[in-house]
Amino acid sequence: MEVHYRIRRPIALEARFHLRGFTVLLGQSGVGKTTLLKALAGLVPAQGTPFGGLPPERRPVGYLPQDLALFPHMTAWENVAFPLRGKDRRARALELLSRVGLQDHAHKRPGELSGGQRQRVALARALARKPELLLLDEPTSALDPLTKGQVLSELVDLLRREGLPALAVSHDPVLAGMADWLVVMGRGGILQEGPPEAVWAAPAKVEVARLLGYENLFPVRVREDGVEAGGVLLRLPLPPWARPGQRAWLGVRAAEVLVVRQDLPPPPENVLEGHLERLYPEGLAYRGLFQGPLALEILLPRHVQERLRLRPGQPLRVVLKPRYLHLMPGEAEE
Amino acid sequence: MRGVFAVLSILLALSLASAQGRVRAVAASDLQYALAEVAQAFERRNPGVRVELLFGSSGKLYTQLTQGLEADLFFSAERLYPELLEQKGLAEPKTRRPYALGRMAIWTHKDLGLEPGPAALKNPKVTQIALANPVHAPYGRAAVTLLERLGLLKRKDLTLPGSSKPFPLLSWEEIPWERLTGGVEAYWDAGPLRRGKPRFDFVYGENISQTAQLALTSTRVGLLALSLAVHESLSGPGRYWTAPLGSHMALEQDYVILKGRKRPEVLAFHAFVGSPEARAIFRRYGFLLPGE
Amino acid sequence: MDPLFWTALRLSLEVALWASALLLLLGLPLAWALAFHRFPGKPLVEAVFLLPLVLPPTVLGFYLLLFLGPEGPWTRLTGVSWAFRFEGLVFASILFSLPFALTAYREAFLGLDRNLLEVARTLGVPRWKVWARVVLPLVWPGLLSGTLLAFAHTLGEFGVVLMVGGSIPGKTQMVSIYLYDLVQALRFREAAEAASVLLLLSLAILAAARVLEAKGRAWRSTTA
Repeated sequence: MEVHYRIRRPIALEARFHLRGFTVLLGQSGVGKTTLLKALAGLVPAQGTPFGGLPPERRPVGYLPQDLALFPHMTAWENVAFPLRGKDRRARALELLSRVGLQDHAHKRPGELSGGQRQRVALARALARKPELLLLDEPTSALDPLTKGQVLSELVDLLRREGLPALAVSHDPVLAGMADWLVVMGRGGILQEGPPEAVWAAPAKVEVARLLGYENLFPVRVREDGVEAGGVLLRLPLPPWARPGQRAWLGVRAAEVLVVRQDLPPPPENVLEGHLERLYPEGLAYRGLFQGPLALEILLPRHVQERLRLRPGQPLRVVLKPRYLHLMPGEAEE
Repeated sequence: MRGVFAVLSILLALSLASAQGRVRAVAASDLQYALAEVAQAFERRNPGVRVELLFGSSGKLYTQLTQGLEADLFFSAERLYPELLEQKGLAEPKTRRPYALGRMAIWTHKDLGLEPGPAALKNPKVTQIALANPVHAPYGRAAVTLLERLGLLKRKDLTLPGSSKPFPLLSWEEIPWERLTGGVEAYWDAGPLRRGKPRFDFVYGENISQTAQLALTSTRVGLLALSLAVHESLSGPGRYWTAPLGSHMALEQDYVILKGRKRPEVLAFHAFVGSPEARAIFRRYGFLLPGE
Repeated sequence: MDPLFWTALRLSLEVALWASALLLLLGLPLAWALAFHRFPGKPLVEAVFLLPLVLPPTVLGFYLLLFLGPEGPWTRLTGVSWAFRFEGLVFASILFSLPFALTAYREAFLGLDRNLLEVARTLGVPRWKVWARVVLPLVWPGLLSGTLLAFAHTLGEFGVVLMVGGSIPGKTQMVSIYLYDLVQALRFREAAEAASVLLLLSLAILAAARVLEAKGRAWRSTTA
C-alpha cells in the first residue's frame, strides 16, 4: 500500500511512503507524526490517498492514540463492543478479547488493567470494526520499560497473525527493530524508507542516523582512501558518491567503538590514543566518554569492563574498524 | 522624611477635626428628600459641620443599631423603634421627640390617564398596587388601614392565633402586624379592588422608597408616603391624591439621640430639627408637624 | 413553624427547579460551544455571561424589572408583563445563576478527554451514540453538580428577587425574602428556625454537588 498525504495544519508536511506489514514510522517529536496518523484516520483535514475525503466514521482504519483512549466508564468487553451492533455484540466482543488473550479480564475497567493489557483491549476494540489498516501512536509510551520488549513482540506477533497492515509512529528505536518496513520522517517529509536492517546499517542522512541511535556523529572531509576528522585520517571504503575534498558526516555507534588493551601491539589502522573522561553504569553495561583527537561515546558490555577494569582519567586506546564506520552526505550545517 | 511626617500629622489633625464636625444620622427612607434638605440647611448655618445620612427601613435600621451600627441620631418612621431603643438603654433619655406626622398618598402614573384617588384603584387598568410591606414597614400599615377606611379592604372573619379577640374587632394599634406574613389578602377581603379585573395583586416593597421605585417602574400605582409623592421624581411622571387626616393609622415619627452621642454638634442638629426653618421644610414635603 | 414558611420554601424550590432545568437545556449547548468552538469575540461573549456574577444583585434586579415591566421590551415583544410573576422569577433566576451553571458545565466538558471523542468517531459509530454512551456518562457528574449549584444559588438569592418579585406571599415571596421580612418584623426566633432549615437544605445540596464533582474527577484521572 502506498501512502501519499499532504497536510497544511497544524503542521505543514507532505509524506509519501510505502506500507509493508508492520511498518514503523520513526521521527523526532514535533515533526508531525501524530498529525500524519490523525490525518490518515480522518481527524485532521488533509488531502491524499488512501481514504482521502472520507469522514473518520467511514474510514476502514483502527486508530490507537498514544493514551489508547479506552472509555474509562466501560469494562473491557463493553469497550470492545462499543463499535459493534446486534444481539450478539457481547459474544463477539468476548471472542475478540480472547483473540488478544484477555478473555479473563473482560469485566475489568481500564483503570484495573496494566499498560500492555490496556493496549490489547484498545487493539481488540479497533479490530471490532474490521479495519484495513491499523494506526498506532507511540505504542511503546504506555508500557512499563521492564516488560516493554516482551509486550511489543507479542503485539507485533498478534498483528502478523491477524494479517493486518499497521503503521506505528514512534521515536523509540527499539520498536524500529521489530518492523517489517521502516520509514524515517523529518521536518516536512520522509527522509528514508526501507527494510529495517538496510536503513539501520546505512542511514541516508545524519538526521536518520541520529534517530536510529548513532551516538557519535561528526563532520568530516573526504580524502583519497578515507576521511579526515580532527586532524586524524580514518580509513574506510568510500561509497560511490564520495569525492575527495567533499564534506560529509561520519557516524559510529558507541557499542562499535572498540577499546583495545594497551599491553598488546596496536592494530594497523584507525587507532586513536586518548584518555577516558567519564564512565558510568547503564543497566548491566557501562557508558563512557573517550577524549582524544575526537570525542567519542563508548559502550562497554559487562564482560569487557570486567576484563579491562577501566577507571575515569586513565589513558585509553580505541579502534574504529572501517566496517563499522558509516559515511553520509551532507554539510556540517548544525 | 521629616517633611513627610509633618504632612502626615497635619492630615491626621485635619481628619480628627473633621470627625469632630460630623453628625451621622440614620433615617427612615420616607425622609430621603426632606431630611437631606434639612441637613443642608443645618450645614449652611453651621459651617464646618457635616451631616451624613443613611436611609433604610426603620425596622432594619433598628436591628442594625442594636447590633452596633455607628450613628448619632435615629429618625424612625414610627414611634415604636425609638421607644424600643430607649427601653434597651441604647438611646439618650429624654431626647426622643416627634419630628413629623407621616401622611399617605395614592399615586398613579400619568400613562394610566386616571384621576388619582380611591376610585382610580377600582379601575380595571389597575392590576397591581405597590405598597410597603405592612409586616414591618409603618407606611405599609398606614396603607392597609387607609384602604380599610376607604372601604376597599374588609377584614375577614377570623381569629389570629395567639389573639383572644376576633380579628375584625381589633383596633389598628392592636393588630399584630408583624405576624401578618400571609400577605394582605390572607386577612382582608379585597373584593372591591378585584371586581372586574382579570387579575389583581398587591406588590410589596421592602421599604417605602423601594415601594415608590416599584410603583414608578412597574406597577404604576402605589400607596406612598406623601413626602415622596410630592418630590419631582414622582410628581413629574405621576399624580397623587393626599389621604385625609385620620383616614389611616397615625404615623407619629420620632427621632432620638443614641447613647453616648450627645456631642455639641449632635445636640445642635437635634435642636435644629425642631426649629421653624426645619419644620418649614418638612411641611413642604407634606409632613404634618407635631402640635399643628 | 409558620405554614407560610413552607409556602415560601415550596415556591423557592419550584422556581429553582424550573430555573435549573431550563438552565440545563440552555446552558449545555452554550457551554459546549464555549468549551470546544472558536469564534470571533468569544472572550467578550464569555465575559457577558459572567456579568451577573459581579453586578450588584439589586442593580441586575432593577434592570430586569424595567425589562419585564409593563413598559419593558419583553412586554412589548410578548404582550405579557412578567414583573411580579412566577415566570419573571424563573427568568431572573436563570439569568443570575447562568454564570455558575455555565462555568461548571464548561469545566465538565473541558475535563472530557478529546481523544475519547476522536477515537469514538474512528470506530464508525453514529454521533448520537457517542453522546449517549461516551459524553453524557462521563460529564453528567459535572453537569449535575453545576445544576445543583445553580439550584442552591437560586434558593438563596435575595437582591434580584426582591426587585422582580414584589414579595407577594404564595406567589412571588421566595424564602429568602420571607426570612428578611421576618427579621424586619423583629421575629428573630422564627427567622432563626426558618434560616436553619434553609441552611441544612443548602448544605445538603452543596455536599451532593461536591460528591458529584469528585466522581467526575475520578473518571478524569483514569482517562489520563
